[in-house]
Amino acid sequence: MQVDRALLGRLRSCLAAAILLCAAVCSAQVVREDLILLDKPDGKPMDIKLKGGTPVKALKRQGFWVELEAGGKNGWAKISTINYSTGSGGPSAIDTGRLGTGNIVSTSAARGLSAKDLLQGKANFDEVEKLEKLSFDLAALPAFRTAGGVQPGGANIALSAAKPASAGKPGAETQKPSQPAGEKKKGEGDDW
Amino acid sequence: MTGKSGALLFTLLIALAPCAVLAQQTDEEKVGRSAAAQLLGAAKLVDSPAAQKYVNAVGYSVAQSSGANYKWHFGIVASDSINAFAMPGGYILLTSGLAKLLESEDDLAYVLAHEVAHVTRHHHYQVIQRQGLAEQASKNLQAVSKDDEMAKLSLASGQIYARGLDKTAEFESDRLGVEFMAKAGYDPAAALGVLDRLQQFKGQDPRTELLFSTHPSPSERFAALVDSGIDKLPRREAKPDANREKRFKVFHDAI
Repeated sequence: MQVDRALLGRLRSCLAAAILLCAAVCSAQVVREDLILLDKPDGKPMDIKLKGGTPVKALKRQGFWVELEAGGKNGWAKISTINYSTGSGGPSAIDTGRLGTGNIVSTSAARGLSAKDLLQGKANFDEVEKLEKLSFDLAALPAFRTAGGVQPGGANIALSAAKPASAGKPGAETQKPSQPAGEKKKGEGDDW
Repeated sequence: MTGKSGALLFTLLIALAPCAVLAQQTDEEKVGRSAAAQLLGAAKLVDSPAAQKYVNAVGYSVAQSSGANYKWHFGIVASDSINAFAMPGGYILLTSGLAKLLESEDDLAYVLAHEVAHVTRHHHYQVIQRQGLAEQASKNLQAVSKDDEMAKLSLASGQIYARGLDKTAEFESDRLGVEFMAKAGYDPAAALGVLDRLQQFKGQDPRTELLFSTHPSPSERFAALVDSGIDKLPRREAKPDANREKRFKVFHDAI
Protein backbone atom coordinates (compact mmCIF):
# COMPACT_ATOMS: atom_id res chain seq x y z
CA MET A 1 0.00 0.00 0.00
CA GLN A 2 1.38 3.39 -0.97
CA VAL A 3 1.45 6.14 1.65
CA ASP A 4 1.32 9.85 0.81
CA ARG A 5 4.23 11.17 2.89
CA ALA A 6 3.15 14.80 2.51
CA LEU A 7 -0.33 13.97 3.79
CA LEU A 8 1.13 12.04 6.71
CA GLY A 9 3.35 15.00 7.57
CA ARG A 10 0.39 17.38 7.56
CA LEU A 11 -1.59 14.99 9.74
CA ARG A 12 1.29 14.79 12.21
CA SER A 13 1.51 18.60 12.36
CA CYS A 14 -2.23 18.89 12.96
CA LEU A 15 -2.07 16.27 15.70
CA ALA A 16 0.84 18.03 17.42
CA ALA A 17 -0.97 21.37 17.24
CA ALA A 18 -4.11 19.80 18.68
CA ILE A 19 -2.16 18.28 21.56
CA LEU A 20 -0.45 21.61 22.33
CA LEU A 21 -3.78 23.46 22.18
CA CYS A 22 -5.41 20.91 24.45
CA ALA A 23 -2.53 21.13 26.93
CA ALA A 24 -2.82 24.91 27.02
CA VAL A 25 -6.59 24.90 27.45
CA CYS A 26 -6.68 22.01 29.89
CA SER A 27 -4.21 23.62 32.26
CA ALA A 28 -5.94 27.03 32.22
CA GLN A 29 -7.03 28.39 35.60
CA VAL A 30 -8.86 31.56 36.50
CA VAL A 31 -7.87 34.26 38.99
CA ARG A 32 -10.57 34.52 41.69
CA GLU A 33 -10.09 38.21 42.55
CA ASP A 34 -7.88 41.14 41.54
CA LEU A 35 -4.32 40.40 42.58
CA ILE A 36 -0.72 41.52 42.21
CA LEU A 37 1.85 38.86 41.42
CA LEU A 38 4.98 38.52 43.57
CA ASP A 39 8.55 37.97 42.36
CA LYS A 40 8.88 34.76 44.44
CA PRO A 41 6.90 32.87 47.10
CA ASP A 42 6.16 35.35 49.89
CA GLY A 43 8.27 37.87 47.93
CA LYS A 44 7.88 41.45 46.73
CA PRO A 45 5.01 42.73 44.58
CA MET A 46 5.76 43.00 40.87
CA ASP A 47 4.26 45.36 38.37
CA ILE A 48 1.82 42.69 37.23
CA LYS A 49 -1.80 43.23 38.21
CA LEU A 50 -4.44 40.69 37.26
CA LYS A 51 -8.19 41.29 37.27
CA GLY A 52 -10.50 38.70 38.79
CA GLY A 53 -11.52 36.19 36.12
CA THR A 54 -8.26 36.52 34.17
CA PRO A 55 -7.20 33.16 32.73
CA VAL A 56 -3.74 32.12 33.89
CA LYS A 57 -1.55 29.10 33.50
CA ALA A 58 -0.25 27.48 36.67
CA LEU A 59 3.37 26.54 36.03
CA LYS A 60 4.84 25.38 39.29
CA ARG A 61 3.71 24.86 42.87
CA GLN A 62 5.90 25.36 45.88
CA GLY A 63 4.17 24.69 49.19
CA PHE A 64 1.16 27.00 49.26
CA TRP A 65 2.46 29.16 46.41
CA VAL A 66 1.99 28.78 42.68
CA GLU A 67 3.88 30.38 39.81
CA LEU A 68 1.45 31.81 37.28
CA GLU A 69 1.84 32.86 33.68
CA ALA A 70 -0.48 35.51 32.32
CA GLY A 71 -0.01 37.43 29.09
CA GLY A 72 3.55 36.25 28.72
CA LYS A 73 4.57 37.38 32.22
CA ASN A 74 5.28 35.20 35.24
CA GLY A 75 4.85 35.78 38.96
CA TRP A 76 3.85 34.05 42.19
CA ALA A 77 0.59 34.00 44.12
CA LYS A 78 -1.03 32.00 46.94
CA ILE A 79 -2.76 28.88 45.62
CA SER A 80 -6.15 30.08 46.86
CA THR A 81 -6.02 33.08 44.51
CA ILE A 82 -6.80 30.87 41.55
CA ASN A 83 -9.81 28.69 41.01
CA TYR A 84 -8.63 25.12 40.62
CA SER A 85 -12.16 23.90 40.05
CA THR A 86 -12.38 25.63 36.67
CA GLY A 87 -9.25 24.07 35.20
CA SER A 88 -10.04 20.65 33.88
CA GLY A 89 -6.37 19.78 34.07
CA GLY A 90 -6.39 20.20 37.84
CA PRO A 91 -3.24 20.20 39.85
CA SER A 92 -1.69 17.46 37.75
CA ALA A 93 -0.95 20.07 35.11
CA ILE A 94 1.34 21.84 37.55
CA ASP A 95 4.99 21.06 37.95
CA THR A 96 5.61 20.79 41.69
CA GLY A 97 9.31 20.43 41.18
CA ARG A 98 9.17 17.02 42.82
CA LEU A 99 7.26 15.05 40.26
CA GLY A 100 8.82 12.79 37.73
CA THR A 101 7.29 10.37 35.33
CA GLY A 102 9.78 7.64 36.14
CA ASN A 103 7.93 6.26 39.14
CA ILE A 104 4.71 5.69 37.26
CA VAL A 105 4.89 2.29 35.74
CA SER A 106 1.95 0.56 34.24
CA THR A 107 1.62 -2.98 35.48
CA SER A 108 -0.53 -5.74 34.13
CA ALA A 109 -2.21 -6.44 37.46
CA ALA A 110 -2.08 -5.16 40.99
CA ARG A 111 -1.23 -7.75 43.60
CA GLY A 112 -3.88 -7.87 46.31
CA LEU A 113 -6.62 -5.54 47.51
CA SER A 114 -8.56 -5.16 44.30
CA ALA A 115 -12.34 -5.01 44.65
CA LYS A 116 -12.44 -8.69 43.66
CA ASP A 117 -9.86 -9.59 46.31
CA LEU A 118 -11.87 -7.80 48.98
CA LEU A 119 -15.05 -9.59 48.03
CA GLN A 120 -13.59 -13.04 47.52
CA GLY A 121 -10.89 -13.05 50.17
CA LYS A 122 -11.17 -15.08 53.35
CA ALA A 123 -10.97 -13.28 56.69
CA ASN A 124 -7.63 -13.75 58.39
CA PHE A 125 -7.91 -13.19 62.14
CA ASP A 126 -4.37 -14.46 62.76
CA GLU A 127 -3.08 -11.42 60.88
CA VAL A 128 -5.36 -9.18 62.95
CA GLU A 129 -3.74 -10.51 66.11
CA LYS A 130 -0.35 -9.64 64.65
CA LEU A 131 -1.61 -6.14 63.83
CA GLU A 132 -2.91 -5.70 67.38
CA LYS A 133 0.48 -6.62 68.79
CA LEU A 134 2.06 -3.77 66.78
CA SER A 135 0.45 -1.13 68.98
CA PHE A 136 2.82 1.72 69.76
CA ASP A 137 4.02 2.41 73.28
CA LEU A 138 2.70 5.91 73.94
CA ALA A 139 5.50 6.50 76.44
CA ALA A 140 7.89 6.54 73.47
CA LEU A 141 5.91 9.11 71.50
CA PRO A 142 7.39 12.33 72.96
CA ALA A 143 10.92 11.10 72.21
CA PHE A 144 9.91 10.10 68.68
CA ARG A 145 8.40 13.52 68.01
CA THR A 146 11.31 15.44 69.51
CA ALA A 147 13.86 13.42 67.56
CA GLY A 148 12.11 14.32 64.31
CA GLY A 149 11.55 17.98 65.15
CA VAL A 150 7.78 17.51 65.17
CA GLN A 151 6.44 20.34 67.32
CA PRO A 152 2.73 20.88 68.00
CA GLY A 153 1.19 23.22 65.47
CA GLY A 154 -1.36 24.86 67.77
CA ALA A 155 -4.86 23.95 68.88
CA ASN A 156 -6.72 26.60 66.86
CA ILE A 157 -5.93 25.14 63.45
CA ALA A 158 -9.14 24.72 61.47
CA LEU A 159 -10.23 24.58 57.85
CA SER A 160 -13.61 25.74 56.65
CA ALA A 161 -16.04 23.18 55.31
CA ALA A 162 -16.19 24.92 51.94
CA LYS A 163 -17.73 23.47 48.81
CA PRO A 164 -17.52 20.71 47.76
CA ALA A 165 -16.47 19.53 51.21
CA SER A 166 -19.92 20.11 52.65
CA ALA A 167 -19.18 17.27 55.03
CA GLY A 168 -22.69 17.05 56.41
CA LYS A 169 -23.38 13.47 55.53
CA PRO A 170 -22.74 10.90 56.64
CA GLY A 171 -20.08 12.22 58.99
CA ALA A 172 -22.37 14.71 60.71
CA GLU A 173 -24.20 11.90 62.43
CA THR A 174 -21.40 11.46 64.87
CA GLN A 175 -21.51 8.99 67.68
CA LYS A 176 -19.01 8.66 70.42
CA PRO A 177 -17.56 5.21 70.83
CA SER A 178 -19.10 3.65 73.88
CA GLN A 179 -15.82 2.49 75.31
CA PRO A 180 -12.65 4.55 75.25
CA ALA A 181 -9.40 2.72 74.94
CA GLY A 182 -5.72 3.39 74.66
CA GLU A 183 -4.45 5.14 77.74
CA LYS A 184 -1.93 7.90 77.27
CA LYS A 185 1.28 7.60 79.18
CA LYS A 186 4.12 10.04 79.61
CA GLY A 187 7.77 9.20 79.75
CA GLU A 188 10.90 8.51 77.88
CA GLY A 189 10.85 6.03 75.06
CA ASP A 190 12.96 4.54 72.35
CA ASP A 191 15.97 6.24 70.92
CA TRP A 192 14.87 7.50 67.52
CA MET B 1 -4.59 -23.28 96.09
CA THR B 2 -2.72 -26.45 95.18
CA GLY B 3 -0.10 -26.56 92.47
CA LYS B 4 -2.40 -28.59 90.20
CA SER B 5 -5.38 -26.27 90.49
CA GLY B 6 -3.10 -23.26 90.04
CA ALA B 7 -1.74 -24.74 86.83
CA LEU B 8 -5.28 -25.52 85.65
CA LEU B 9 -6.41 -21.95 86.32
CA PHE B 10 -3.39 -20.61 84.49
CA THR B 11 -4.12 -22.83 81.48
CA LEU B 12 -7.76 -21.71 81.48
CA LEU B 13 -6.79 -18.06 81.61
CA ILE B 14 -4.46 -18.49 78.66
CA ALA B 15 -7.12 -20.37 76.68
CA LEU B 16 -9.78 -17.76 77.39
CA ALA B 17 -7.58 -14.75 76.74
CA PRO B 18 -8.82 -14.13 73.15
CA CYS B 19 -12.44 -14.28 74.39
CA ALA B 20 -11.60 -11.77 77.10
CA VAL B 21 -10.09 -9.41 74.53
CA LEU B 22 -13.22 -9.62 72.39
CA ALA B 23 -15.50 -9.13 75.39
CA GLN B 24 -13.65 -5.94 76.32
CA GLN B 25 -14.02 -4.45 72.86
CA THR B 26 -16.82 -2.09 71.89
CA ASP B 27 -19.22 -3.08 69.11
CA GLU B 28 -17.42 -0.61 66.87
CA GLU B 29 -14.07 -2.22 67.60
CA LYS B 30 -15.47 -5.70 66.98
CA VAL B 31 -16.82 -4.63 63.62
CA GLY B 32 -13.50 -2.98 62.76
CA ARG B 33 -11.61 -6.10 63.78
CA SER B 34 -13.72 -8.19 61.46
CA ALA B 35 -13.27 -5.73 58.59
CA ALA B 36 -9.51 -5.72 59.19
CA ALA B 37 -9.54 -9.52 59.03
CA GLN B 38 -11.18 -9.36 55.60
CA LEU B 39 -8.58 -6.95 54.27
CA LEU B 40 -5.74 -8.91 55.83
CA GLY B 41 -7.14 -12.00 54.16
CA ALA B 42 -6.42 -10.34 50.84
CA ALA B 43 -3.00 -8.94 51.75
CA LYS B 44 -0.78 -9.78 54.72
CA LEU B 45 1.23 -7.41 56.86
CA VAL B 46 4.67 -6.43 55.61
CA ASP B 47 7.26 -8.45 57.52
CA SER B 48 9.26 -5.54 58.91
CA PRO B 49 8.72 -4.83 62.63
CA ALA B 50 10.76 -1.62 62.40
CA ALA B 51 8.67 -0.24 59.52
CA GLN B 52 5.43 -1.22 61.29
CA LYS B 53 6.62 0.44 64.48
CA TYR B 54 7.45 3.61 62.56
CA VAL B 55 4.00 3.74 60.95
CA ASN B 56 2.44 3.33 64.39
CA ALA B 57 4.58 6.15 65.81
CA VAL B 58 3.53 8.57 63.05
CA GLY B 59 -0.05 7.30 63.25
CA TYR B 60 -0.30 7.80 67.01
CA SER B 61 1.24 11.24 66.61
CA VAL B 62 -1.58 12.44 64.34
CA ALA B 63 -4.26 10.39 66.10
CA GLN B 64 -3.49 12.11 69.39
CA SER B 65 -4.31 15.49 67.86
CA SER B 66 -7.71 14.15 66.77
CA GLY B 67 -8.72 14.02 70.43
CA ALA B 68 -10.39 10.63 69.90
CA ASN B 69 -9.53 8.00 72.42
CA TYR B 70 -9.20 4.73 70.53
CA LYS B 71 -6.76 1.89 70.80
CA TRP B 72 -5.18 2.57 67.40
CA HIS B 73 -3.62 -0.15 65.24
CA PHE B 74 -1.67 1.01 62.18
CA GLY B 75 -0.14 -1.43 59.72
CA ILE B 76 1.36 -1.71 56.24
CA VAL B 77 0.17 -4.56 54.05
CA ALA B 78 2.15 -6.09 51.23
CA SER B 79 0.30 -5.04 48.10
CA ASP B 80 1.16 -3.21 44.91
CA SER B 81 -2.21 -1.46 45.08
CA ILE B 82 -2.08 2.20 46.02
CA ASN B 83 -4.62 2.64 48.79
CA ALA B 84 -5.27 2.97 52.50
CA PHE B 85 -8.17 1.73 54.62
CA ALA B 86 -9.77 2.85 57.87
CA MET B 87 -11.76 0.32 59.84
CA PRO B 88 -14.14 1.18 62.69
CA GLY B 89 -12.60 1.21 66.13
CA GLY B 90 -9.13 2.40 65.10
CA TYR B 91 -7.75 -0.24 62.71
CA ILE B 92 -5.87 1.45 59.86
CA LEU B 93 -3.99 -0.22 57.01
CA LEU B 94 -2.04 1.22 54.12
CA THR B 95 -0.51 -0.65 51.26
CA SER B 96 3.20 -0.88 50.62
CA GLY B 97 2.38 0.44 47.12
CA LEU B 98 1.11 3.69 48.59
CA ALA B 99 3.90 3.87 51.17
CA LYS B 100 6.49 3.63 48.38
CA LEU B 101 4.86 6.56 46.62
CA LEU B 102 5.33 8.82 49.64
CA GLU B 103 8.34 11.11 49.87
CA SER B 104 8.40 12.22 53.49
CA GLU B 105 7.11 11.56 56.99
CA ASP B 106 4.80 14.51 56.46
CA ASP B 107 3.27 12.74 53.45
CA LEU B 108 2.75 9.64 55.59
CA ALA B 109 1.20 11.79 58.33
CA TYR B 110 -1.38 13.12 55.84
CA VAL B 111 -2.36 9.65 54.61
CA LEU B 112 -2.73 8.31 58.16
CA ALA B 113 -4.52 11.44 59.37
CA HIS B 114 -7.06 11.11 56.53
CA GLU B 115 -7.79 7.56 57.69
CA VAL B 116 -7.89 8.60 61.35
CA ALA B 117 -10.57 11.14 60.39
CA HIS B 118 -12.68 8.37 58.80
CA VAL B 119 -12.55 6.52 62.11
CA THR B 120 -13.28 9.51 64.34
CA ARG B 121 -16.27 10.46 62.15
CA HIS B 122 -17.47 6.82 62.15
CA HIS B 123 -17.90 6.91 58.36
CA HIS B 124 -17.69 3.17 57.73
CA TYR B 125 -19.30 2.21 61.00
CA GLN B 126 -22.40 4.23 60.14
CA VAL B 127 -22.73 2.40 56.83
CA ILE B 128 -22.42 -0.92 58.67
CA GLN B 129 -24.95 0.20 61.27
CA ARG B 130 -27.40 1.19 58.56
CA GLN B 131 -27.12 -2.31 57.17
CA GLY B 132 -27.92 -3.79 60.58
CA LEU B 133 -24.58 -5.51 60.73
CA ALA B 134 -23.34 -3.90 63.91
CA GLU B 135 -26.01 -5.57 66.02
CA GLN B 136 -25.18 -8.88 64.44
CA ALA B 137 -21.55 -8.28 65.29
CA SER B 138 -22.21 -7.49 68.92
CA LYS B 139 -24.24 -10.67 69.30
CA ASN B 140 -21.90 -12.98 67.53
CA LEU B 141 -18.36 -11.75 67.67
CA GLN B 142 -18.02 -12.49 71.36
CA ALA B 143 -18.52 -16.14 70.60
CA VAL B 144 -15.40 -17.03 68.72
CA SER B 145 -16.94 -20.32 67.60
CA LYS B 146 -19.53 -18.65 65.35
CA ASP B 147 -17.27 -18.59 62.37
CA ASP B 148 -20.09 -18.33 59.83
CA GLU B 149 -21.44 -15.13 61.33
CA MET B 150 -17.98 -13.62 61.51
CA ALA B 151 -17.36 -14.56 57.92
CA LYS B 152 -20.65 -12.92 56.92
CA LEU B 153 -19.69 -9.70 58.62
CA SER B 154 -16.21 -9.78 57.12
CA LEU B 155 -17.65 -10.29 53.66
CA ALA B 156 -20.10 -7.43 54.14
CA SER B 157 -17.18 -5.25 55.23
CA GLY B 158 -15.32 -6.23 52.10
CA GLN B 159 -18.28 -5.03 50.03
CA ILE B 160 -18.22 -1.66 51.77
CA TYR B 161 -14.51 -1.17 51.11
CA ALA B 162 -14.89 -2.28 47.51
CA ARG B 163 -17.74 0.18 46.96
CA GLY B 164 -16.40 3.15 48.93
CA LEU B 165 -18.06 5.96 50.83
CA ASP B 166 -20.00 9.02 49.84
CA LYS B 167 -17.80 11.74 48.34
CA THR B 168 -18.61 14.13 51.16
CA ALA B 169 -17.09 11.70 53.66
CA GLU B 170 -13.84 11.69 51.68
CA PHE B 171 -13.73 15.49 51.47
CA GLU B 172 -14.45 15.73 55.18
CA SER B 173 -11.67 13.26 55.99
CA ASP B 174 -9.24 15.27 53.87
CA ARG B 175 -10.15 18.46 55.68
CA LEU B 176 -10.06 16.95 59.18
CA GLY B 177 -6.96 14.95 58.34
CA VAL B 178 -5.08 18.10 57.35
CA GLU B 179 -6.19 19.71 60.62
CA PHE B 180 -4.97 16.70 62.64
CA MET B 181 -1.59 16.58 60.90
CA ALA B 182 -1.06 20.34 61.21
CA LYS B 183 -1.99 20.28 64.90
CA ALA B 184 0.47 17.42 65.39
CA GLY B 185 3.20 19.56 63.84
CA TYR B 186 3.45 18.19 60.30
CA ASP B 187 3.50 20.33 57.15
CA PRO B 188 -0.07 20.62 55.76
CA ALA B 189 1.31 21.36 52.29
CA ALA B 190 2.36 17.69 52.16
CA ALA B 191 -1.31 16.83 51.58
CA LEU B 192 -1.25 18.74 48.30
CA GLY B 193 1.96 17.00 47.28
CA VAL B 194 0.44 13.55 47.85
CA LEU B 195 -2.68 14.45 45.86
CA ASP B 196 -0.48 15.83 43.08
CA ARG B 197 1.33 12.52 42.89
CA LEU B 198 -1.85 10.46 42.98
CA GLN B 199 -3.32 12.52 40.14
CA GLN B 200 -0.47 11.40 37.91
CA PHE B 201 -1.92 7.88 38.00
CA LYS B 202 -5.42 8.79 36.89
CA GLY B 203 -6.61 6.24 34.39
CA GLN B 204 -3.14 4.93 33.76
CA ASP B 205 -2.42 2.23 36.25
CA PRO B 206 -4.34 -0.78 37.62
CA ARG B 207 -2.71 -0.22 41.00
CA THR B 208 -4.95 2.79 41.56
CA GLU B 209 -8.12 1.24 40.13
CA LEU B 210 -9.82 0.68 43.50
CA LEU B 211 -8.63 4.01 44.91
CA PHE B 212 -10.06 5.99 42.02
CA SER B 213 -13.30 4.00 41.96
CA THR B 214 -13.94 4.67 45.65
CA HIS B 215 -12.65 8.23 46.05
CA PRO B 216 -13.20 11.60 44.35
CA SER B 217 -10.40 12.40 41.91
CA PRO B 218 -7.22 13.77 43.50
CA SER B 219 -7.72 17.03 41.57
CA GLU B 220 -11.18 17.46 43.13
CA ARG B 221 -9.72 16.75 46.56
CA PHE B 222 -6.88 19.21 45.92
CA ALA B 223 -9.39 21.91 44.87
CA ALA B 224 -11.56 21.20 47.93
CA LEU B 225 -8.60 21.65 50.28
CA VAL B 226 -7.70 24.93 48.57
CA ASP B 227 -11.33 26.05 48.90
CA SER B 228 -11.21 25.13 52.59
CA GLY B 229 -8.35 27.58 53.11
CA ILE B 230 -5.42 25.18 53.46
CA ASP B 231 -2.98 27.91 52.43
CA LYS B 232 -3.98 29.99 55.44
CA LEU B 233 -2.61 27.36 57.81
CA PRO B 234 0.71 28.02 59.54
CA ARG B 235 3.64 26.33 57.92
CA ARG B 236 7.29 26.11 58.81
CA GLU B 237 9.29 27.30 55.82
CA ALA B 238 12.56 26.11 57.36
CA LYS B 239 14.53 23.26 55.85
CA PRO B 240 13.00 19.85 56.58
CA ASP B 241 14.34 18.24 59.74
CA ALA B 242 17.33 16.05 58.87
CA ASN B 243 16.50 13.35 61.44
CA ARG B 244 12.92 13.16 60.20
CA GLU B 245 14.12 12.73 56.64
CA LYS B 246 16.67 10.13 57.69
CA ARG B 247 14.25 7.93 59.60
CA PHE B 248 11.70 8.17 56.79
CA LYS B 249 14.36 6.93 54.36
CA VAL B 250 15.11 3.98 56.65
CA PHE B 251 11.37 3.18 56.69
CA HIS B 252 11.08 3.60 52.93
CA ASP B 253 13.99 1.25 52.31
CA ALA B 254 12.46 -1.37 54.63
CA ILE B 255 9.18 -1.78 52.77
